[in-house]
Amino acid sequence: MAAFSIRDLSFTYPQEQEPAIKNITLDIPEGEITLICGASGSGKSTLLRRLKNCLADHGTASGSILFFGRELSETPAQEQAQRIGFVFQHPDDQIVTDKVFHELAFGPESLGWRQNKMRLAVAEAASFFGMTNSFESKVQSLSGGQKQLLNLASAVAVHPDVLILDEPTSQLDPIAASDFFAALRKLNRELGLTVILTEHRLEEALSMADKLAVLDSGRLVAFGAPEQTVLEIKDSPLFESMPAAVRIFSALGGEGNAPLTIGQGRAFISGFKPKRTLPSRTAHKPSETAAELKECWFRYEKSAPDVLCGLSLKLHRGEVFSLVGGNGSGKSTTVGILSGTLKPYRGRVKLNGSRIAALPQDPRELLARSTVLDELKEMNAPQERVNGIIELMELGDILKRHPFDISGGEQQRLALGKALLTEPDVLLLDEPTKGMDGQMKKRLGELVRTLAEQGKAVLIVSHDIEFAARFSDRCAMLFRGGIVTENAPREFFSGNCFYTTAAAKLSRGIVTDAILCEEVIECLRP
Amino acid sequence: MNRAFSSLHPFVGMAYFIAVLTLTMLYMHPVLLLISLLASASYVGILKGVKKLLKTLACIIPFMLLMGVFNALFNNAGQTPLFYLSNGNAVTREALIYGVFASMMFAGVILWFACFNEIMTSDKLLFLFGKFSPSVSLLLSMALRLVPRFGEKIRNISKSRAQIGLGTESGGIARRFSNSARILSVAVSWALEGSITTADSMKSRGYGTARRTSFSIYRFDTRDAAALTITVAAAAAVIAAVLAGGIYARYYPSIIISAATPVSVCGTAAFALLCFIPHFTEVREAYIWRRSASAI
Amino acid sequence: MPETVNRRRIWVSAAAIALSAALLAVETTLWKNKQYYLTSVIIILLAFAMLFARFERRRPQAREIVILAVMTALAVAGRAAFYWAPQFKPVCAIVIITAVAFNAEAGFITGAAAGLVSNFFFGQGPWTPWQMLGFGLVGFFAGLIFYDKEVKKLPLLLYGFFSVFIVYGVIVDTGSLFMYSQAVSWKALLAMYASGLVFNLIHAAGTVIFLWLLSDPLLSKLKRIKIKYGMLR
Repeated sequence: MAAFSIRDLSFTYPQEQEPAIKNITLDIPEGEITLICGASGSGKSTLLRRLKNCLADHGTASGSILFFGRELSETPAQEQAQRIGFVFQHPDDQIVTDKVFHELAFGPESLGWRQNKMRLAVAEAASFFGMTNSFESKVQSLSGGQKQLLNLASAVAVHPDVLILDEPTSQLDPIAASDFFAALRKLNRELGLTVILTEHRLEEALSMADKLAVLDSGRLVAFGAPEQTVLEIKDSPLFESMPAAVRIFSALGGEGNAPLTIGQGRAFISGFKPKRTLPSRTAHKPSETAAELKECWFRYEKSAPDVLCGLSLKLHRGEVFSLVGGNGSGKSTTVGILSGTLKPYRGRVKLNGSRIAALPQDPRELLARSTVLDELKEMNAPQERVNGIIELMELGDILKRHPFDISGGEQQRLALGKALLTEPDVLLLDEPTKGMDGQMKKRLGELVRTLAEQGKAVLIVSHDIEFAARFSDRCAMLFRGGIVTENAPREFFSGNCFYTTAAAKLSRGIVTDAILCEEVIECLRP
Repeated sequence: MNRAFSSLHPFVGMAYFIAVLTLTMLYMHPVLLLISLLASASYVGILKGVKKLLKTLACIIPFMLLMGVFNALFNNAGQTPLFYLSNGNAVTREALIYGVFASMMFAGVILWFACFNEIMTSDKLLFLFGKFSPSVSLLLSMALRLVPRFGEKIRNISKSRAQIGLGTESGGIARRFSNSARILSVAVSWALEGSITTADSMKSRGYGTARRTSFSIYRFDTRDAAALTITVAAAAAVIAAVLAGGIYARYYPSIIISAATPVSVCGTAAFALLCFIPHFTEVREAYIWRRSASAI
Repeated sequence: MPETVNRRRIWVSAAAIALSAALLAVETTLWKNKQYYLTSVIIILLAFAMLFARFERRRPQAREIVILAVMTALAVAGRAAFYWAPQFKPVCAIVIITAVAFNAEAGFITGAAAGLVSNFFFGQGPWTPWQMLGFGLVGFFAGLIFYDKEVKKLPLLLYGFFSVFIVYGVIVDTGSLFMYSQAVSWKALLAMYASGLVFNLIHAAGTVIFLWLLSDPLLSKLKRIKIKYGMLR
């Protein structure tokens, strides 16, 4: 039986002309993982929220949703609360209480369970997710990944039949995201939980999905087993966000089921012989140094361990420099040192008179006014420069909107615009692709290139290897407060074994030095 | 730290502190006050260390002096004037003595509260509150989590703004002030925006669909029953001794303090027992632990 | 459910508090029982119990609890941020703003909760019930006077000054007197107020400054969030 049978569902927000989702008909099979993908604004979240009445947005809806054969709207609220679990995007905001055990108990408490039943449910959930040691801890002492696992555990504690997740890993680093997916897969495989999720991290999510549904501007454009469904959308811009294996398979004219994982992709291309070698990239021409760190040491407290241990780096004008590395490697601290909010206790920061501006991970931290235009005016820049920024950042249509009502991508461009109004020579971007889909990343990447061409030095610190490989001139890996290796992207990523792009992993030993999908395809195509 | 006494059920802890605080405040009998003061001071010492105890005492002493003076000045009900103030009011011996005991009582209350703050953690109070008013308890729990998050967010915002030249250190006083206000304003926006997700998460997990129950990580076992019984019995014995007229203290117009009679001795002993329950619990627990450890 | 004020509920609550005050007066003057502190604290706790029970009985919605928690946390964080400036605190200003935006009950709950929660950080003591009552009533009256009306700045600032100076100041100073001494007389009370005068003036002036700075941005943000939640149509 289908967990959800969606029939001809449409929904329009109040004061909108265009429906957010249009005539969707879809059966979500019980016990399987259904992945819904689509660009931001394609109606994914709107659709997910309609699957639980208490979360459904206000507006006009038509069509029907059956939940295990019964009209969803006829299913009592309490039953929906228990049988349909929901995990939201932001790990922090959806946590209600202050202690781990209390959070796990929140669902059972709200459903009015008796003490014994509650104790068992909470104990089971905590044991399943390995939270017995942090049981009485403050939620705030957990990392982002642990918080999201707590949210998953809390949703599962009331024994739901269906689990709905709205971009659950978009705010997590790659390792935490993998852990989250592993837990999700375990829930599905061991307990037979029906899972419905939306995700931008398709490289990992796709391989564990049993079904793939693709939304485009509110319409369902493809649905079925992922191995075939992915190939149905190869003309859509969304295809660029599909895993490297799928794109290479499609471009090289593969037939049958598409490979989804790196391993399957390697198996597919192992039959190919490289026809061409990659043209050697023009060696990077060293330009004027805009800022420099010389053997900087830093720690947050006297008794704390060093976060930066003799870090040296140079930023050049007209160059995009990416600093990649895991959590705790000192990436954000480096931004702090360069921007002057932190001072190294040893070593030198040479700015050569350069002006520095930094963009925080959460761009909303820079938004304090009630319209987009007021935000830009806050910077006290001449009108023509404001106009220039409006044009560059494509903010013209939203000048009168409230900064908290525009999309995440727009918020980031607005914050970036504010930063650029200080006329910086050096721009520091902290984790700029967090929570973005493929299209938004591409747009941001192009913007970053434009800024570099205007002569700015851009430093990106990020977990996002694919982004770094595609858009930077130089990459460096930060590990335990120092740079381990530094090179142009191709040399850098083809030299790395674990810490590299999917295309590089996939083509290792078959195509020399390829780090992007296009490069692999270029070398192998007939 | 999970001390022996703090591992008791919150209900027992609360009952204990209500009993000991009420009885300390209720009868201004010098012997009872002295016992209460000694017990509370030594328990602060056990819980927080002698250094912290001395620090707390150093904070209390000025208030005690102030109270003594206050009572002496505004209380001229005694019958033995010591000297007269310029406005004609008398400072009496009774008022002075009363002031000394009142400040002892005050010190005892403050020290018991210092113990209370160690033993009755926010978890326990929210648990008790949840029994009575689940919604308010939930509100308090959410607020408790938000407070440090606010602090962290405010630091982040001010750092982020400083990185694009909107720091609170630059510009004139007015600009600095308005920049500070902006930071707070951004933090409020952030919190309110996040609250929408929080409310969704609550609804999604069934908030409001049933009568809320309240989860307890505490179990009421025989040890709790024993502690509660002793607390109630000791408090009842003190009250009985007072009602029987055995324990009595009057300061105005003249000082009358009950003498030692069998009833008053029993009542006083019961009060001492009550005050030293935490100490007994700690010692007993340490002894049990050592014995079981040596058996291993 | 639109946020309507239940006038009757508010008046019943107000009457309960008034009655409590009357009881306190009768108890201490007529019966000559000198247990001012204990009696008054019991009455305060009863008043809290009644108001909280009311809040509980009408099953507050998720969004109400969340917003009140945010405002409570803001007040507490504000109190903590200004720990170095005695009495110069934004707590009352934030409680008043909450009451203006939501209603008297919301103001009372936020104030009382802020009093309790902040003492989880600063330490509970015999003063806790008094502070809770003081903050709560400052919010409660603000809600009665300003909720659901066109709010002008000057009356709000004036209210901020006098409510803190008179309502909060008198409540907390009375509490201190009851804590310090059983020798309660008008003279002693006046002396207590006189000794607290400077502190209360700073507190009241601080409240005015914070209200002046925060009332516009916070009220517009709260209005925005009400629209987002569908509490205003």
